Amino acid sequence: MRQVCVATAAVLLLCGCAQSPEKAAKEAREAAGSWGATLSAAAERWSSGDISTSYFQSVVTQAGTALRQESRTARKSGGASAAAPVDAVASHVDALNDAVARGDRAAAIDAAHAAASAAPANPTPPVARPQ
Amino acid sequence: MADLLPLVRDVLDKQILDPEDQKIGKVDGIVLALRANRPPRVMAIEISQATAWRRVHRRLGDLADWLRARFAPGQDRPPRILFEHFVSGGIDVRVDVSCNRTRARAWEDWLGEHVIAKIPGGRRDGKK
Amino acid sequence: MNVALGIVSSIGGFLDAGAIATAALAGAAFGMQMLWVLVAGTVCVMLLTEMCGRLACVSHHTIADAVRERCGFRYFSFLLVGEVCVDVLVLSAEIGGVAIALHLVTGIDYRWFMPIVAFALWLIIWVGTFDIIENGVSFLGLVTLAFVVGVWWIGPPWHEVLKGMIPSAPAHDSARYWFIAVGIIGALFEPFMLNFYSAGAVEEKWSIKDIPMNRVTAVLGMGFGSLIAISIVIMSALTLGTHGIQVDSYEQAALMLVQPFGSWGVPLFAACLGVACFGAAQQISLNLAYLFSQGFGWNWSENLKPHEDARFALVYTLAIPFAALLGVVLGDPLQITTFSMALNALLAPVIVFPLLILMNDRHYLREHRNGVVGNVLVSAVVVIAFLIALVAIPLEILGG
Repeated sequence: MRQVCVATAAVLLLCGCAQSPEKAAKEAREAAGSWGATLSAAAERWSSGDISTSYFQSVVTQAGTALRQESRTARKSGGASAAAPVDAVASHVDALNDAVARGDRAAAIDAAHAAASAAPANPTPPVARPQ
Repeated sequence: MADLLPLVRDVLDKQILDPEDQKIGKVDGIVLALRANRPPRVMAIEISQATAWRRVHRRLGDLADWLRARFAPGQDRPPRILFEHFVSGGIDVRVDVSCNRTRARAWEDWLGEHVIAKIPGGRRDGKK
Repeated sequence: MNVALGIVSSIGGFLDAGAIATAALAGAAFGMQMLWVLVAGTVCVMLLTEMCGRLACVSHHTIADAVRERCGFRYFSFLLVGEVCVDVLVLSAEIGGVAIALHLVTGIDYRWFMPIVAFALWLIIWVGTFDIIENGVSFLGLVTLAFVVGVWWIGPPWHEVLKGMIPSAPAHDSARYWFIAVGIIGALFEPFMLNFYSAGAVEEKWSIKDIPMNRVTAVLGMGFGSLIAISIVIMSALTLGTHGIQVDSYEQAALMLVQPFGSWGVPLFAACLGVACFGAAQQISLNLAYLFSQGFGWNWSENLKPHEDARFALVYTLAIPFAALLGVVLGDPLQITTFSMALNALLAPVIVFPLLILMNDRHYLREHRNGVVGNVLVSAVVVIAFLIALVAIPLEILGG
């Protein structure tokens, strides 16, 4: 009985660790789109003064960390093609960091919009029964 | 017909309260005295982590015993309350001996004096 | 005072890092589809909370007391080990939540705040009384009404909100949908909240005459928490999900209040997160001490001076720094939160099953035992909790 439990746990863990390439690519696209949209929304809010510079910097830093992690995960399961959308968004993070450091809100918006365009987001309709 | 006292339902694992409603501990064990050619007699209730954990697994009881020997000051055997002090059972067990006359709080008192009281604010007069 | 216990239990136990995270996640990923999970979970939690309060009113015993006394030490030891493991993990997530809230407004790495938050938490419990903790959190917790105000300001499609409260199957991403549903249920069925509520009732010396007030407290308190959580789902759906923003970090979640509140949005979110998590951290810390004290028959009360219940004080004095250290080592508080919610779902049947036994025990409840309806409902909750627990781990792996 103990051996059955250990074997079952091992199988479940292995299933969890080994993602299919398609699933890896899908998750990478969703993460890239989400963070691109986040950066775009946050940049606009920073530009209009609705959020502080320190908070916006936190968002950019967190985006960079999350995208790097997502890229590593996607590469492991799906290779470079799966990680491509994530890398495309991540490539604009440095420009964003520079813009924040300089206090250049226009440049930040440009970089953020470029990041959002690199991987289109998947909006969720605010409904109870989506079609 | 004499009243029955279901030991497991109304004594074991119950909160022990003294005449001032002070908490003494839980009934971790019931000590029976075996008598030749006669039924066992309930001798005492025991308040002991080792006794309680031994009911889960022998090794856990041994570990609790080792910890008690290592950290409990001057306690070579677990605190017991003789069953003659038993007043009533149920969801609480009431005894007619004061908490201060048992060794059940020895470790708590030691902890209070030597550890908690040394932390600022640990020992202070007045209401909390 | 009584309703304050309901609200503080709700703010700490219902609305905490787990509830905020899972509600934000649900709204961003699935719009209004998952509101029914919150509604169903709220009804269950109201029932369970009322039962825990009734147990305390009639028997003057808490759940931890009564579980050991009725089910024996062996069962209690299993519950103790499980609950301690989960509580310490959740405590580290809550301390992390407060630290993240401070990071959101200052920009300083949240890890620097972990020891400060842990010390403040310990200090309040060390010097405070149950009343101070209860009323303090109740009062400060009113800041979470910001989410309700936000919903009113934005004006959601109310017909969609109402439709979302009717159970439905997911239209897409089933594994992720049920994983988040498990997370929501795990965030609602937090064992520490139930024991804290019963311990609070004993601390406040509730008796049989307080049973009607207990019902009102359970309903209003849990209802308050539910209202906030539902508001978070709606805000997240309308301000994040519609723009394609998913909630993978608290930084993203904080954007949800910017649309209604402008420059106050992020600080308000941080205040809500901080207060809710601090309230939860207080509850969990006290619950750990209650669990050991009540299970082993030690002296216990938040109203006693520390040297009068030294073992009780020692438990939370050791648990808080350990949890803070664990949080620093494990990292991302949001990930710790979502993982620990699944563990809550696993542990829930271990608490709910003995509650079913206790609520029918005439020695504990006398003439205030559960009726047939109460038994059927608790049985249904036990079965649901058990099924959720069975599904939780594979879903965590597939959907997480």
